[in-house]
Amino acid sequence: MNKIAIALSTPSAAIRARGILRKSGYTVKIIKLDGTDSGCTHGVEIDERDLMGAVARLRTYGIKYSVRQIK
Amino acid sequence: MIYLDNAATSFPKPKSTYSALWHAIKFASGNAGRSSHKLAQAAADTIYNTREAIADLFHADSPEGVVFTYNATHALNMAIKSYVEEGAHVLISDIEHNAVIRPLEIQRERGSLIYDTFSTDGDIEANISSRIRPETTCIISTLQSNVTGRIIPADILSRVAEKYKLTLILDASQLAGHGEINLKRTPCDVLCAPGHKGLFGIQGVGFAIFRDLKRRKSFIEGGSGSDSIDPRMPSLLPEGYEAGTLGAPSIASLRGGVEYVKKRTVEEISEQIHGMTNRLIDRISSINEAELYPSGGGIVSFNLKGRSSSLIASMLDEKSICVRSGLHCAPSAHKKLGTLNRGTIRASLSCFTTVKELDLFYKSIRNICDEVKSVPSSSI
Repeated sequence: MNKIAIALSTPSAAIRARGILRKSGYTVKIIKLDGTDSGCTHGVEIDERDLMGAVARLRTYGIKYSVRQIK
Repeated sequence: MIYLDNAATSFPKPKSTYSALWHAIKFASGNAGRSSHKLAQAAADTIYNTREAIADLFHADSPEGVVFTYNATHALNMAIKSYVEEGAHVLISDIEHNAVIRPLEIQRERGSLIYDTFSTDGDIEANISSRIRPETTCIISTLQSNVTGRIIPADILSRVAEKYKLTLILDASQLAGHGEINLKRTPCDVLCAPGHKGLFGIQGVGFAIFRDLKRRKSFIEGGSGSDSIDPRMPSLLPEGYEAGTLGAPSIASLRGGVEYVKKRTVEEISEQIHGMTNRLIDRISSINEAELYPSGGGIVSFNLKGRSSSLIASMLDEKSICVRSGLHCAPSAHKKLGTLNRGTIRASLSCFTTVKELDLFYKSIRNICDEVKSVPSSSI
């Protein structure tokens, strides 16, 4: 299964997101993502098929995110 | 040894502190938030779990609002320098520690703010209200004096701040772990505390709990593990105030301590400490040579008539009893007590203090009274 990254604003936000997603039954792990316009960031890696459900959970908690391909 | 200097730093710590510390050094010694390998992630998890434990203990809205510092002084400096605006008038209690007075004084000297004290005697709400000016923006207060143990009710401070729409910064250095602090019931903008006193972490960790998760004025700048291209600190907490590598082992020890406090419950610890303090107050007040000052909540301050507090502390040390003498970095409290010239002997308790230790302490004080009886007070 292909993996995809959900980028979060800070390392703490990534830990919080991981906790929320794990409680919802998703398999996730924290990863560090390469620099973007603003530099390095942290995120969670998740199965691509779980993406829609996972980001919906994050929206429920008001967590800002962006989706990135893992290359 | 009898350790009665818990208001300076608690000793001993519960077993959970030592085991959490050892576990962190052994298994979680990566750099949190910098890399994503297992050791770094273990450190990040340790730190985040501690944020959660603290947020839960104090009923804070979010673990992200818990910002780690080196100690309570660092937390108070952060809160004051980040939240108090240029040109503000600030109200502080008349028993503040230098951790509040000095950061304000340096800014007063630069002409960037003015501050004034409110009395903690009588009707505190009326005392604060009568001091508020149109330019007042902030109240800063301790929740418990480190000299007398006097508790300033958080509900009064919270109510006044809300009524006049003022920023409220609270110093929980002595009360955290010894008395109930519920940020849901008595909200404030920033609650500052050390990790190494009533919460039983090791030295080198403190925290500030912010209500607003957006950073105000930057306090310290450096690496935060994210947004590296941006030359400014992140705008969100906790990273917005946490520059550089955090002390994961000391933070882990704090979690061990907080777990102990939660298991025992603050209510039970508070009841035990108040009971023991009252016992010691009764004992000290029975000594003719003792001048007992207002005391309570784990702290007993006194002097022996005509004797230097440092001399008596030194004599106690020779008997392997640890107390603190002098001004306890809180000159305003001593000014109020009339002890600015010689300070006080402060015995401070924790929930590990035993009745036997207090009784031995009392006997030692009695013995010291006999020892110094023949020496003219002017000579020591």
